[in-house]
Amino acid sequence: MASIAVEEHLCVTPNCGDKAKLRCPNCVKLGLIDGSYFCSQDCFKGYWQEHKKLHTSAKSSTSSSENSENYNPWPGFHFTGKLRPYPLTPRRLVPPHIERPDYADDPNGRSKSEEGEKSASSTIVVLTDEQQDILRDTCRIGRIVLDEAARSVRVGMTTEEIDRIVHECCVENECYPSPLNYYKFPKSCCTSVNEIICHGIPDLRPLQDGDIVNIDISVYKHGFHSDLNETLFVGNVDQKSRDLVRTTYECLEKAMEMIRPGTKYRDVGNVIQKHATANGCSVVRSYCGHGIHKLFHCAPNIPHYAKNKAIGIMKPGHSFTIEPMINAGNMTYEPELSCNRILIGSWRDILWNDNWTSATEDGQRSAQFEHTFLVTDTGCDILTARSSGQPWFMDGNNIS
Amino acid sequence: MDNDDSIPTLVDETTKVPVTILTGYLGAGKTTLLNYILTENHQRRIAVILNEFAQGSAMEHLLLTATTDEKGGDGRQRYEDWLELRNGCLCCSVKDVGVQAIEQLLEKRRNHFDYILLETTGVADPLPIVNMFWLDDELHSDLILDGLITVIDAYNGLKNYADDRHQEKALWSRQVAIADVILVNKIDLISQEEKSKIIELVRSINVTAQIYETTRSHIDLSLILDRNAYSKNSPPDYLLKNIPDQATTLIPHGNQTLNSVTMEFNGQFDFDKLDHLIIELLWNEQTSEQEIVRMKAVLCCSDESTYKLLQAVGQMYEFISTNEKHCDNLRNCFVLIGSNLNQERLREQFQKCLK
Repeated sequence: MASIAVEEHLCVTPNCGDKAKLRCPNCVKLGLIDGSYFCSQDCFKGYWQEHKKLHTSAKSSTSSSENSENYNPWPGFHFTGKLRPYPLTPRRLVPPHIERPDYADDPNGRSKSEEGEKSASSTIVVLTDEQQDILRDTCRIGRIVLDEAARSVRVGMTTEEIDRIVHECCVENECYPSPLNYYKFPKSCCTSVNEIICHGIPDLRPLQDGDIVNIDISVYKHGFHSDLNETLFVGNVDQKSRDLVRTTYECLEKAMEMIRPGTKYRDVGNVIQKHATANGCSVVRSYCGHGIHKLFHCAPNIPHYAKNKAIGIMKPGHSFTIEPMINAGNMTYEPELSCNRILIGSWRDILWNDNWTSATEDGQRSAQFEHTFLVTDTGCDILTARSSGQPWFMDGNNIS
Repeated sequence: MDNDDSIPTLVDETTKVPVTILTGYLGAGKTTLLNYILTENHQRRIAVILNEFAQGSAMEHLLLTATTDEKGGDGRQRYEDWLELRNGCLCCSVKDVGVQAIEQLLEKRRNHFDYILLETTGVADPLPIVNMFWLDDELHSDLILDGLITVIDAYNGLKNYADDRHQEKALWSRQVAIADVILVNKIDLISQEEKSKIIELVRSINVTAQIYETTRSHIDLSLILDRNAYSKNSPPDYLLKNIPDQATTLIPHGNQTLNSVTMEFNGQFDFDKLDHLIIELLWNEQTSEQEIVRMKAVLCCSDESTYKLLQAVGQMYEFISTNEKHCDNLRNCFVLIGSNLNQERLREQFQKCLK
């Protein structure tokens, strides 16, 4: 059965089905996508009596719990999926003998060194051999921490547990967990479940059978940062999620293949988006890959979407991350055409009221993978690679 | 939330809201211009954002001032509001925090504004701010950069320019160099001779901007808004009109001064070679004294039968394909604005990219 990949919307008025570029403003405010597109004001007026029921049911469903989880710290906030924030545990401390980045002790978590860098030029730093070795070690430790966390994941475990394991592993390895207090992020790693794209805050929610969870680790040691993440399966995960995770990993693999001196940073997005679209998925626009070394985030900026104006060409000694966030698409069967029509999943993200958690606009799941790379004379070194070379989800043993 | 009994007007999410950036030294007349925009009855719903808008600084708020057109009302009411800047994730975010704040404004008040005017501090380099708002199409932002307006004080202009302090001269020149529209204000306070001098100076720096002489910043808004300076739909012939060759009108000055260079070529370019050259000119960090701050071009490439446009601001650039066939008219025109431009060398370099 052939599939058509499509990005446009059709008018939802029954028996219309024309191309629709206009949206109901009430639906926009409520964050409703499906059912909000119309071809014209007249068509909309005609269907209004029926259409407005969507608003009423959306408003009431935010307080009901049809399979959704109960704790809601923000009454009235429209969640795009079933996930809800759970309470957080108190902030963890890092023993004072461990070297801290500048933002660790800033009351607003601001990094003066990063902000200073932004207003200066966007020159990409070339690391000396010595600096490269330091970065290698910091990345090696980052990998140790991620592996420790990944190994522990099981159904029923909370993301807060994962954070505890990460935090303790960092302390054991004498490094600072980079996310902690970065612009006031409250925890030591990011855990992003299901429809959460990135920057999920570890909390008391237990992982459920069938969830996918991304664990994003960054550590600071010897004055350098490393950054890596993987999406893992929790229990028995459905086929659609497996496909999403696999596609996302492949996007990173394809991007990795082009890392060598001379490649333009702006071309990375072209390759990623092409692969994502071919698999009925979409690429998140809001967050990008970034330079990393003494600063957590610095030049270059590497968008994961196509046709971007990113500045710079890869040179030996450049260090940066590539971390595509890929959203699953929606598929419907078109009987008249005898094929599947894929609405390439919305790439848009919605920020939760905690000012960090980023969720997909349509509530579909999102996956991500990330490595820290170092450009060499002939290609690149994957500094945060796992010794087996294979991401955890491919290991096949379903964590239960 | 609207009453569900009254049918609201559908929102067209594909039309974008233009953003015009306004810069100029303190006292040049920016505030007068902004007040004029806010009080004049011009049928537009313009949001003016006033601020010390500097790239990378994590400020708390932006001040929004706008006029509302009450339905059926005759007065223009002015209201002010603070736009809160989300201080969450500044990291790995594609858009600047200020850009995001403005987008959020539009999200909440989509039907209230159809234009945004952003005032920047007069002591900042406008280049990074222009770059901030020159968003990739794929971001499908509600905002589209319309252009940069620079207001200069004709009365103090020549003095500002001749000022010994390096920084000052460079900054004043940059504000002129990157502008799409320049208002030479306070024209009523200077003599005819001084006027010629200042306009000649401005022209020598920026050969493509629209220049208007103003008194008390009075200007027909249709001349400064909707410039579409960064649009993908600019007609190719806007650059192919006769632009005087600037090579000969050099005003003596020291280091770091900016001027315009225009070059015309006949023939077709090899796109890859040309792209390579652009990268060499714009991205080669400090290998030469030459700095190009702005570049515009209309050109013919061998890979397409239609004209291509080139837009560059600082290190950011893009090629845009058009629908206009060049047929046998293989004319190419480049305008470069920058400092220490070596015109002969540049000409050679571009020449080498022709097929």
